Amino acid sequence: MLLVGEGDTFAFSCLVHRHQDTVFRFIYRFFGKEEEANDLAQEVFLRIWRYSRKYKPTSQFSTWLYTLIANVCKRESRSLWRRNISLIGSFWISGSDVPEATAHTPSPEDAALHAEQSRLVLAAIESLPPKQRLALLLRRYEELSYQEISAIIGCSVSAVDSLLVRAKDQLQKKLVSPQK
Amino acid sequence: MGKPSPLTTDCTRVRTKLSAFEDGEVSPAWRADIEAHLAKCSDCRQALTDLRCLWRALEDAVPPRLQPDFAQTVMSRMTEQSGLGLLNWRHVFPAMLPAPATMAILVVFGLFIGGWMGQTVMKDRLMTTTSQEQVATLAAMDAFAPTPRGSLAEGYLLLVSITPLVKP
Repeated sequence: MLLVGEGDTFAFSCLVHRHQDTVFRFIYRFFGKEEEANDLAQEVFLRIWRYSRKYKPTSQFSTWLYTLIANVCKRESRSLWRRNISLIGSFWISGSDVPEATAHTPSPEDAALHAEQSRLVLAAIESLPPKQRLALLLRRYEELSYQEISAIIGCSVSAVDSLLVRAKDQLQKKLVSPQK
Repeated sequence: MGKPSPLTTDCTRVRTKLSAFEDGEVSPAWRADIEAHLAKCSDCRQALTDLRCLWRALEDAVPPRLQPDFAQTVMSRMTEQSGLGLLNWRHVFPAMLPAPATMAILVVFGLFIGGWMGQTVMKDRLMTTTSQEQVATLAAMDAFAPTPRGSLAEGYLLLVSITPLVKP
């Protein structure tokens, strides 16, 4: 990362290859759209390049990276267009909305079931408010501690706890309860 | 499964910490307290099981696909931005700006040069332009005054100004 800060393009290329999947998957889970995740993941890496000179090795690189990703996600979800779309989408999660995941599923029944499950999970996650979504993704998929999440989102540890409790509660109502 | 019994105060207290307990984010004292409660409360045990089910349900079934040329696209966009960065006025203009002291010296020098030019070059030009032609122009402009020179009005005003006021 320090080499990237000095303008080393080869080091930057290595960094992109190393972290592209992490960045892409996180944004994909946040918005549930492949194309959008690709665009925003590119935006994250361009920000890394732009702000690499400001990076201080005092904090962990992963924390810095997740903070950049969180900022990009928050900024994007704040835009009026996105807010309206997610608001409309939150009314029917178990219904007829079709995320792109289904378009790439193979024909066997198992794969179709998995795709359906994934579709429901993505839709349920997308229906959460942005801060709850960030906290949940950082905890569930990135396995970060509450302390790390609080540093990334910019709130207290108890606020992270509260965000996660509310997020899990909502997801439980949408995912687990209907299956009982 | 039977109808869950109403939550006791102890249950409510434990439920608020159940999420953090599952994530391993409670203090040892809280952990012991919750474990003791779970040992005797089937409803809270069920709540914990539900929480674990949810965590498992969030597993990715279909992994998303990254664009195959993702890294190349990023690199080319980065190169474009770097090229633009050289021409970006926000980066270039401050570098081109001289230090405030240099700017102050330039202003003083400019004022000095301006003064000198006024004293030498412009003075000569003003002297040559004060000719008969210009005097005639000024006299012509004077014709538009309310009391033109040589007119009856001017004579009246002159008379009034030199005649002392006679008090009754």
